[in-house]
Order: sequence, then structure tokens, then C-alpha cells
Amino acid sequence: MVYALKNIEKTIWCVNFQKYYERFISWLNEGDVVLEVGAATGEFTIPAAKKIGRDGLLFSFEADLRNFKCLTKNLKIKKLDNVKPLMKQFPMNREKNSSLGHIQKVQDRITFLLLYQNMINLTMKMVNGN
Amino acid sequence: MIKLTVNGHETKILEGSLSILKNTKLVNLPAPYPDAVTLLKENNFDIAVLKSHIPEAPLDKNSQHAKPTLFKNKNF
Repeated sequence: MVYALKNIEKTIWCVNFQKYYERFISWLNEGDVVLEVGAATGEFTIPAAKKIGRDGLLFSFEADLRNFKCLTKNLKIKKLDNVKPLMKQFPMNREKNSSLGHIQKVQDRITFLLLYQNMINLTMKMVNGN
Repeated sequence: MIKLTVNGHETKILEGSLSILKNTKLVNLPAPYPDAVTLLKENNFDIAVLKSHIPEAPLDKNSQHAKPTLFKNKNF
């Protein structure tokens, strides 16, 4: 785990993961919108954000506070303003056969719709150049 | 593109994100979870890349975590 990120160039991420991500990042184009769920400290986020460029937009979800702090710090150091980091658990479908599960599911859907609407608004702003 | 890395919750998240999928070009999963593969195929996705992220290591049939997978929407 990496916490000391004064110099991100010295940060060591797993080489195998970097190779794995390189392959997928090559499929991205400038101006793409990316939804990343489980961003960790940004080993995918940073190269992907560079690839999609200033015209692109990356929504980055990370639920773990320590990871999220590293992620935001890394983004700040790299001056990547096309990334919207969100410290939230991405909503998911819960157990269907319990009332609690049903309530959680409804709450998840509302949270998701709000997040989705926010993403659409940001994306439209980006597309319209506002 | 949607990139999911959430320790096995990928399928649940995809189930809750069906409305996004039709406008999504690529989905990246850390492993080809069978339920997720079925769900994505039902939503017009094909497996585009399925390889070990450790090139020199042989694929372990019992370990899905050696097979990061990229799905491509046929409509794009």
C-alpha cells in the first residue's frame, strides 16, 4: 500500500496491473467518458485520464477512505481536472427476498439515479463547453 | 467505458446499471464471472480481450483472477 505520495513519479504500482491496464487504455479515445468503480489509488485512473484528454471525463468511485485520499492526492499532483473522484460505494442490487433488501434496493436506485443524473449533467456541460 | 474492480460485486453492479449499458462502448472486468458474461451477452456485448495480465504465467483454470476481460458493445 502506498501512502507517501510526495513524489508520484516514485510511486510503485504493480507492474503486472500496469501492463494489464495499458492494454485496455489503448482502446480508449480522446473525449471518451469513463466510469471507474473501484479506483484504488489511481493506477488506472491516471493513465486513462491522460488518454481521454481534457475533452474526456472520468468518474472515479472509491469507497475506502485511505485509498480515496491517495487517489485525490495523486490527481492533484498530476493536475488532472477531467477526473471526478467520488468516495461512495457504487450502488448495486441487493437481496430481493427481504424487506430490508427491498428498501436498500430502492435507496440504491435513487442514489444511482442521482449520481447518473449528475454524470449526465457534467457530461453535457463538457460537450457544450460550459 | 465502464471499468469495475470491486472484489466480486461486478455482476451485482452491472445488474443495477442496465440503463447505462446500451450507451456503453466497453466494459472491463477483472475476471469473466459467468453471470456477468451472460448478462453482458444478453445486452449485446462480445468478449473482445481475454488474457492473463501475467503474460509468462499459464492460465489457471481454477482461478478467474488471472483473466481480466474486456467486453465490446456490438452497436459501436
